[in-house]
Amino acid sequence: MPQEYLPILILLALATGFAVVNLGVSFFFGCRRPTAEKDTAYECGIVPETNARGRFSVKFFLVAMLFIVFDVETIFLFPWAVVFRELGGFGLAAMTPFMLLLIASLIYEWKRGALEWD
Amino acid sequence: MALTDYPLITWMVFLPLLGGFALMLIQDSDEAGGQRVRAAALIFSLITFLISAAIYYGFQADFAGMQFVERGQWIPRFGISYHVGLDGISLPLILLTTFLTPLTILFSWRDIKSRVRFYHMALLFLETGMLGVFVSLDFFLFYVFWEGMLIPMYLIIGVWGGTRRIYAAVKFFLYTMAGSVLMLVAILWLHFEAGTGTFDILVHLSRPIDPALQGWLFAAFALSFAIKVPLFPFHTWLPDAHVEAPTAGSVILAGVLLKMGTYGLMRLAMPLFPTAAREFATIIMVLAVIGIIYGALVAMVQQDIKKLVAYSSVSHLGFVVLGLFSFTLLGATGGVLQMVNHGISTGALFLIVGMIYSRRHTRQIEDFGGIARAMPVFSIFFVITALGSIGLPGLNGFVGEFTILAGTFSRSIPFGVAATSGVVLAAIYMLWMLQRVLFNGEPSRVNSRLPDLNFREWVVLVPLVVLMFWLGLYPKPILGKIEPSAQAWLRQVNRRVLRVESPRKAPLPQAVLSSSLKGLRP
Amino acid sequence: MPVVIPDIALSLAATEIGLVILICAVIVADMFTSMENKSLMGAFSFFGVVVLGFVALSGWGGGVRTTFSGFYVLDNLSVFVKVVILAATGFTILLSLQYAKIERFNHGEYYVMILFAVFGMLVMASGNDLVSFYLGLETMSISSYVLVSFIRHDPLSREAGLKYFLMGAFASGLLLYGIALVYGLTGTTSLLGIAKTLGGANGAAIGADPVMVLALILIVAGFGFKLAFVPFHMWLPDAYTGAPTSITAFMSVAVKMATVAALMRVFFIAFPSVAGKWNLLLWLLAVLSMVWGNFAAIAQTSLKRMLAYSSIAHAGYVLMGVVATSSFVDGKVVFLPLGVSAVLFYLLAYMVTNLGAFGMLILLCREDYRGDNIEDWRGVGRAHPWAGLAFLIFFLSLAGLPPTAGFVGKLFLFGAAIQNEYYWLAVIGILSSAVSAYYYFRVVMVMYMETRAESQPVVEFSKAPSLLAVLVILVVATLFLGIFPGGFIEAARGSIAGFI
Repeated sequence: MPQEYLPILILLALATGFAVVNLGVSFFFGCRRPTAEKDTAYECGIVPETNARGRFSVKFFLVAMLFIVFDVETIFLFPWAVVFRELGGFGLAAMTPFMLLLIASLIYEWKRGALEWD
Repeated sequence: MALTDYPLITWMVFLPLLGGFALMLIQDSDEAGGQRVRAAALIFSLITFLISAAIYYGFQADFAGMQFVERGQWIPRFGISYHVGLDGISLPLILLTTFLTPLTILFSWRDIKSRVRFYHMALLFLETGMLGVFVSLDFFLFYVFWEGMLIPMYLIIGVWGGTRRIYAAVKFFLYTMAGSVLMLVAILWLHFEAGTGTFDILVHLSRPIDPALQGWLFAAFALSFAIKVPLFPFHTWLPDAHVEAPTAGSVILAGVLLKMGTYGLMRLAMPLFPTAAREFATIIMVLAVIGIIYGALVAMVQQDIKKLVAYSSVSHLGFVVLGLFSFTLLGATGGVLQMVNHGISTGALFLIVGMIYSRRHTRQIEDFGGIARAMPVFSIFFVITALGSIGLPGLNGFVGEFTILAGTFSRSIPFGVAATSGVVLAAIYMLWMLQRVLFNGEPSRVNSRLPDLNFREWVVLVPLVVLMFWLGLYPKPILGKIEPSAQAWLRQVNRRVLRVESPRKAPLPQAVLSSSLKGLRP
Repeated sequence: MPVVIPDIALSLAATEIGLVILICAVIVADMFTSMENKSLMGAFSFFGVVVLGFVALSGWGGGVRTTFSGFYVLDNLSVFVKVVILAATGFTILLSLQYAKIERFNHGEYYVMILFAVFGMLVMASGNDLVSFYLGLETMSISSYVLVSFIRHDPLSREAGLKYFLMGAFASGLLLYGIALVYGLTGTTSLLGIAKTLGGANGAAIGADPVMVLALILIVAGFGFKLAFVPFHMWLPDAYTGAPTSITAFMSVAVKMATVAALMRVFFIAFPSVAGKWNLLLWLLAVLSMVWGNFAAIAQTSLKRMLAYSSIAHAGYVLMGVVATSSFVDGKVVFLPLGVSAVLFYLLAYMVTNLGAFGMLILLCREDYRGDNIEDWRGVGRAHPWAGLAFLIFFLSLAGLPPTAGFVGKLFLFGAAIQNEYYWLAVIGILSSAVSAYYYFRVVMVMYMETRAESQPVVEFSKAPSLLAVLVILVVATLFLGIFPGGFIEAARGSIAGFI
């Protein structure tokens, strides 16, 4: 059984080796002439204006969570839709409570104002 | 319909409980309400006494077994039943309990002014607990009463006691509690491991227990009872509890609670494990004799009258234990009688100390002297009671102590001699105290104005003194009721048990542990 | 490819399904209720829980039935546990109605989170597979984390929630790792399947595998954290002290009940063939919990914290019953039913008692005065004999003194230990319970024997009828279980039917 993992091990070694070799080569052979401009943080060529560790509004997280909830719902709904006919009544019975739960939570979010930006 | 057909015991045991709950309905916010509470409590305790008197009347003296037996299923799954009954050993103690309780209520009429209702509830609950212990024939029931009686006593000492009441209450509670939990383990062992599947005391008494195991079980039971008695060196809670408790608490404590220890030894520890009881007899007798002499010596040097009486209890209860462990009929009969005697005499002494304390608010011997002139009637009662406690012939103490000593001498002369010295010492400390308090020159100005006994105090003391004379001059009726049961008891404790096979063979916990340990090693 | 539709008997899970419907209803209804009327949500939840209690009870005596492909089992044990949990929930909700207003966390979400936690517990009680058990556990735990930190304006509560969350998540990880190792060794997560593999041809070899020992240690440690056995208890005093008192009460009884039930199911059903190993571990945890819980409680000045430590000790007593169930004859384990029924009865008794004790704290709580400290109870018994008496009865029961539920419960726990010859366990347990009497009665002493200081505020009890009603019921129940326990012992006995 261990032999089956050999390719992974080789890949691991290769990846580590590549990184180490490249860093090592530039560390030992590269020439360094630091300037102020070179030491600034690289942000796709745009000069950074504030600290990168600024805080996001909690609203972003709310949206992210809502996204995940409905994302999961979609993931569940797609395969269900594919075998909808074969599952028949059982499928409907299984999906209805799930949808009801989501609807209840949607009502909750809505009324709590989670869907409003301000 | 005969008297025995009525569930008299149940009525007697639970009437005070019922009364306690009934008191809840009475408001005690004003003085009149307090009077109503006192009167109601007194009535309940008097009815209880009347029921116990009916039991005494219906008791058949020539029958050694349990009488007035009531039995009903309680928790059948675990062999727990409501099983009560009494014999000649428990009967005197029951009468003592029902007799002393109304007296204490009567005594504390003026004494207790705060939280009157609560106090009388505690007293009545306590009475139920004590009576329950004496009539229980089921371990579960017994333990419920045994522990249940702790709480009211704890509260009586802790709430209405003296200055160091909290310390005394906690000490009393912890000592008794620590002792009784080990008894619980032993009871559970009897139930589960001995293979009987029942908590019935009579069943356990009738079947032999492997002598090899008796030692531990006896020790667990005896420790619990020895703390209660209290046997030297487990007595240290007693002086604190006695001194700090209110008078009524002291009376009940000395009069009845201590007897629960000796009763437990007699009813459970000794007949259940006769072999172990005989093995331990010498040690316990030595402790009892030490208790007798030590208690007397310490009593001699006390400055506080109440403390003196408290230490005298240690001494007197030593006699009872000595009598029981002499394994003679005289010793056993005398032991039971002495339990009653001590309850009456010491109870009366505590009442008397309480009376003098409520007048002078001190109990120091040196504060008194010559009060016989101011309070002649009081002094007469005091002298009679003290003489009864010493064991003057013609009074109650003599009969009990004499029979115990006779029993002890027939078994071992050294123990007898040592115990007799206790009687002499008792005379010394008691008479010396009497002399310093009652006589000893002219009363001081404060003491000369002390009022003599009032009517209520007469009512409290007269029955006690009458009993002292009755038991001292004509103890035959009560002895006649004790003796058959004592004889049966003696047969029980003298039986020899040969080796008994354990009903179920299973590995010991150590074996289980080591086998599990083996399993852990990969 | 044909679709195989599993045969699912939904009726067996009627309680859980009903609970989910209730949760949804409360969530939606909450959104249309004004801030002042949030207590209506509590009342709504309470009536729902009562109905569900009867639904759960109807499953009694139907034998062992499994559904959801063996993930879910309904037997008498699960019914007993569910009914007790639902009863505890009902009491907790009633305790909270007034308290939530006082502590200003009167939101509909509070009741919703309680119901979510209950849902997790019910699933745990019926979990017949390590996976379904774990799902229930996590649902319960995550809801509890939220509930513990529900007094958002109180830093203590927030701290408690964070601590509980971190330790709880860690414990879940341990447990999951253990489950994974078991799956790796046996190839199944089904409790019966594991038992079958371990008892099968290769069973001895798998059982002796060091990985198996590691897995058992991890599972025991996971349970140990969740149930706060010493030495996994360090989160508990802070979490219990910081949490809203009603939640502390709820966690100490309901969470414990569900987790102990799951623990018994996992160990007794799945791992009987390696009982020698886990039993020793549990033996040690039981002893440590009983001793340390009781001794640490002595030093506390906060009544709530003292009760928290005492709950560690009580978990130890319960574990003693679990340990005492196993008896080893010739190296083979035999499970004797007395232990399990004693554990169940004890948990029932503890539920009644501990809810009552925490309820007394709630009774004293006001907007400006928490009453969590022992000092706050100084002289209360003198001025308020009824309240003092109620507290006294709860303390009697906690200390295991007759005539209360706690006494009967302890009697049978110790009886089980003695019957299976765990003498040392019984003696250690009973001595530590004698120690516990000291600190319980210290409070009684403060209540009755000391007088209130001038500087202390006047005692003013809550007058909420729901709270008073619950306390009266709990006092009566504590005494009733102590004096007439017969029927409940029979129920605890009967709940083993088909279990072991």
